[in-house]
Amino acid sequence: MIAQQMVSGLAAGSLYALTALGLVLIFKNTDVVNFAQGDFGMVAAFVALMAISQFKVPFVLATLVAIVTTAILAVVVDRLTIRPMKNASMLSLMIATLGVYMILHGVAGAIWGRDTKAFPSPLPSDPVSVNGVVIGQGHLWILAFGFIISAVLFVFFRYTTAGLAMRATAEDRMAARLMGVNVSRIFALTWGVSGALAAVAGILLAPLVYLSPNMMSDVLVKAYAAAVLGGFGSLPGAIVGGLFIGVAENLAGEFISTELRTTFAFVLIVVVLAVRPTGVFGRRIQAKV
Amino acid sequence: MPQLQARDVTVRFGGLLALDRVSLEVNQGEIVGLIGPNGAGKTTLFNCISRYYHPDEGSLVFEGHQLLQRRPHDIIGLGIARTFQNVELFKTMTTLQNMMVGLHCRTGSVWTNMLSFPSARRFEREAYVKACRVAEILGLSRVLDQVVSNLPFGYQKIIELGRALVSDPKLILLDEPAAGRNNQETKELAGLIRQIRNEFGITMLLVEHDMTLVMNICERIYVLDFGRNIAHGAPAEIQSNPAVIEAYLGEKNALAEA
Amino acid sequence: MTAFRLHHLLWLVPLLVVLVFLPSFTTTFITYLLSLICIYVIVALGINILTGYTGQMSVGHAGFLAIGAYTSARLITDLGAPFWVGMLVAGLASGIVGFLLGIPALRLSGAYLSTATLGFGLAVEQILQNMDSVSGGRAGLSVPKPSLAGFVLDDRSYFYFVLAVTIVMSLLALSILRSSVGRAFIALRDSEIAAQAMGISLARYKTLAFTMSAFYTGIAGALFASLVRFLAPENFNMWLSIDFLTMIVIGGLASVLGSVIGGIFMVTVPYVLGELQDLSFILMGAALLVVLLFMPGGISAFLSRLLDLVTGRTTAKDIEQHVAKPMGQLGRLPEQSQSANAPASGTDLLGVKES
Repeated sequence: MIAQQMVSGLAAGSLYALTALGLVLIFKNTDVVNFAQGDFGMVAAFVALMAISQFKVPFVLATLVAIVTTAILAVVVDRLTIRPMKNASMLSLMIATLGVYMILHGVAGAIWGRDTKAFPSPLPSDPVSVNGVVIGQGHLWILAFGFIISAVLFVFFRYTTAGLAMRATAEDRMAARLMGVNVSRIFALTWGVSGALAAVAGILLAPLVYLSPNMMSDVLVKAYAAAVLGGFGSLPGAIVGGLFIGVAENLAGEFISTELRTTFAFVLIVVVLAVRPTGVFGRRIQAKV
Repeated sequence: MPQLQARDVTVRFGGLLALDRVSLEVNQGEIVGLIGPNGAGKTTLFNCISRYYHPDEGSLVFEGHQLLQRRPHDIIGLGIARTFQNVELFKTMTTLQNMMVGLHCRTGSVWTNMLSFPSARRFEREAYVKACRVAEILGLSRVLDQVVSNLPFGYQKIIELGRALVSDPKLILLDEPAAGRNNQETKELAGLIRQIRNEFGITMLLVEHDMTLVMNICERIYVLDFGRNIAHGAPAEIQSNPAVIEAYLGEKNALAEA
Repeated sequence: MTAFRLHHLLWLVPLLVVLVFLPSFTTTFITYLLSLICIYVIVALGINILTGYTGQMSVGHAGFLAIGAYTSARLITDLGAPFWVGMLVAGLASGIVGFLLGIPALRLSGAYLSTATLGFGLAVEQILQNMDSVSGGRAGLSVPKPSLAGFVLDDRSYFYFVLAVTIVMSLLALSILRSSVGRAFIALRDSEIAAQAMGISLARYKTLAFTMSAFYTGIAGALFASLVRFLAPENFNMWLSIDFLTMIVIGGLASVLGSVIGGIFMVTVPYVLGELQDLSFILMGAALLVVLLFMPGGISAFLSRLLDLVTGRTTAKDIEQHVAKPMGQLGRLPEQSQSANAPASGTDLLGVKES
């Protein structure tokens, strides 16, 4: 029973981690706390659904189209809203992404309607039994993709020029610029990659829930908690934070109360923040004067 | 007994020794300079005095008060005001409002102010009058109603000094007051600093890179290099001190010119 | 913050006249909307104290509204408390919760603080959903018509009561925010380090901002409960918190007038759009972006600038005159100080008597 909760917790946690990775990436590189991150995933799920059901595109291709569309959407959002306010306070930037969140929400509602829709998945979803632990295959797919994407990101940041340039920009923007890094292109890349991450999360989640403009709300909130736990600036922190929240809320749901899962997540982050105001993996920041 | 006494102040940032057993004494009414190459730890010492950093070792005593037992917002109440290297004004406020915040440490309780009791209104009037006086002395009267972020850097630095003055300080820590000024303006600043000390008996401790200014107005000078106190004495002694010249190698001309 | 000018409040005079007389000529529904506007204005004042003035973002103010609403509703229905007692206790209860939330929030900023407040709002909603004894379970909670001194208030008299409370709360906010307390809030927002160096206690003023903000929102919650007279936990969801934040940005951050405008905007626009919910989302989001990109200070600052222009108090020329001036005479001292003897250190520095 516990093992089962652990696995479904890890699966849910992978979704939180994927979304949190995008949040942290954008925050690290551009100082923006992006409220629209979840809705990028929602848009991706709808785009994939539209491609499959209306244009009869094969699933894999539809997924790719959705990921690319979302990545472009994220870059456009950055260009049109965030970049023009480059000297604004963090508060204003956060509120700007809130505006984007509302617009995406409204546009999705207008185009695809507010009634929930089922999402067809070619992946088998019958539960399988491993050593007596019954696991939904959907959860296994999420875990597998979560793992693959983390590995790809690791390689990207470790071994590619673009990845190194992104890390350098996150570390010290001015120095990176002086070293010849095109910071503007790095920002676009950051938003694009984050949009793609959100798209993957949205499409992985889609078969398990019904599609609606609200589908990512819960994931977004948990991803926030995950990012905060992980220190909002640490990519490994976001992954660990996401998995931890997923498992903790499933166990809390099992042993304490299913209805109060979000409340436990909140209490958890307040306790963690009370002890470590910059999260578990976060560095202490001291403003320079 | 010196007014401000720092003894063996040590600050570590990770493995880096930002301040290494730095000791310093400032007497009431003195103008004392604190110089050293970039990264020598001058501002770090200021930040220890204003309690933004907590030293790993050492003690700081101001007129018998152990500063390290005080919280950051208690320091100005003891009579130590400061300015900042990169200007830390309240950027959305006007010059007048900025300077009125300088008197915050003398405000009564939160409640009397919130409900604007007569005492609070009297206090507001006094803060207003005082800010206007200081503005007049510093030549800021014309920009009283300007939002400070619209003003040139030189003005902002002077407004910071004004904000410090309004608090009735006994000691002002000036962090690079001459930054962004030309020779003529720096000369005027020297006169102003001396004037403030002479008229009001306020002690001045200043961090400054402009050697002309430092050698001109300071009565004593402390030199920091890599977090260590390498010399202290009168300006003439400092200028001929080999250790100081060594530390400023490449900036030698700066010393010679002064 | 632009310099405060009294004539900026002139906008409020015709507004008040309209508000006082309108209910006599219109339907009860319009009266209901007017009451709702007043309640939103109180919320906007509350959230502006915290977010606009002190710079602490909250995405959980629906939680405070809920605490106020349920506290008042329970006091009225269970204990038969007079409606106005319920309102005051609701404000206090919410204020206490705000104080408690303010303590861990002291050490948080930016992303951490917004996440913590977001979590707070969601937690309040979820706890209410699971505490049938408070929220009345699936049936919801009905609140009786408000009565004052034995008289049951009809819609119109209730509106006048709400309006009176709103005016009192606005004047109180104006008085507090123009005092040294308001300056301390703004100082903390603009530069925490300089504020502390100037003697402003971070702990005291940030928790004060949280407490005041929650108190305002709690009072609004009580007024809301007696206006809609039916409470369900899902009415106090994350979107409501986002609406609250949106309205102060659009109306004007750190401005009492902005709070008023924001409240009017947030009630009327969705009402005008009616069933067009998606369009309302898009418009609100677009309005946010437009304000952030092109109208710093929101609608209130825009109107103030407009009024300055109309009344000929343009400051453009003054600015040019002041700012373009080279840094000439900064060192010059006025005549009378040249001869003064140096007084003892720290005493009576500028001839202004210390109190």
